[in-house]
Amino acid sequence: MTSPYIVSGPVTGPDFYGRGELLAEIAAGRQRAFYILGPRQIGKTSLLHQLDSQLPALFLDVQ
Amino acid sequence: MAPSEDRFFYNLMREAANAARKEIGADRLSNLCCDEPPRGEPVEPRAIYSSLDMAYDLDNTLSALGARGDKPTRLVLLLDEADQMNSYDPHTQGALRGLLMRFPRRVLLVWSGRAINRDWRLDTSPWYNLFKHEIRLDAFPEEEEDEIRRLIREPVRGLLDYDDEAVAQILSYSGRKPHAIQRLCSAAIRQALAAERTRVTMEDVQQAHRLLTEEDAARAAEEGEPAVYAVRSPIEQLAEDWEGYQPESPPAEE
Repeated sequence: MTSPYIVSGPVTGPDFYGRGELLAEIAAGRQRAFYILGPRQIGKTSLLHQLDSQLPALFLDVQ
Repeated sequence: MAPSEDRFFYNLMREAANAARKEIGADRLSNLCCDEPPRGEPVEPRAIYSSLDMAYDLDNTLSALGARGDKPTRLVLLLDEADQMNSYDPHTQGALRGLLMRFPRRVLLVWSGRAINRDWRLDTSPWYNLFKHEIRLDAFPEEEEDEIRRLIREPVRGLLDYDDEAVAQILSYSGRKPHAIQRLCSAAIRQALAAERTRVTMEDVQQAHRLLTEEDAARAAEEGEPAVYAVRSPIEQLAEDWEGYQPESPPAEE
């Protein structure tokens, strides 16, 4: 059996859990900009991918 | 995609135009400044494309998207690994801020990174007052414990299940951090499957934690770095991950 848990790369779609309040706050779009700050492997990229799938958004990796 | 500072606005707008064209069709969005120069013409984007060009292109793009006539159109720019922009020329940073100010409620920037130049709060900063909404992403909050339990159980539903004690142990070891949870679960189900069981026990999780800790230590030693465990106690994990964290020195002996 291949592990269904995702231990590398971003998590998106039905594999994405939690952060509902945060996603709703950003999607409401009442601000011009949000800075999502956090340590590595905390889910920043996954959060952006989730926004990308929920909004008419453009994803760009600056690194 | 990895735009350099020179090509930042050009690449950003190219991506935005491509995304918009997928939505509305290429024929409804033409004559943008960011469209490639004719083949064979060696024109450097920096020489031909500025934030002013992007403002023009954005205006046209938003108008074309808005012409669909349904809801008000908003473009969301998601910039990942954006720490690199801390080193950009202040003029570039200021130009990006200027763009966002020019399209209030029509263009939203979501930027993610590990650190931010704290000077952005100063009125001399090109980012002045832009990021009023700094969001610190961290372990799942306690209120999302049900979501964590779903993250643990749903991927193997119908095949395997966890004892409640095993779930509690995962919560404890992982500090409710999503990546640590997934690593622990992946290693724990291997333990259960190796023992030909369909229930994951607390002992499986404990053994998984031991193995991951050893694995991380071995990798760190191989790479010549101090051992940094991906699965640590919650307090160590929360503290060490943050940029600028300095371990407390032991008190000097008198």
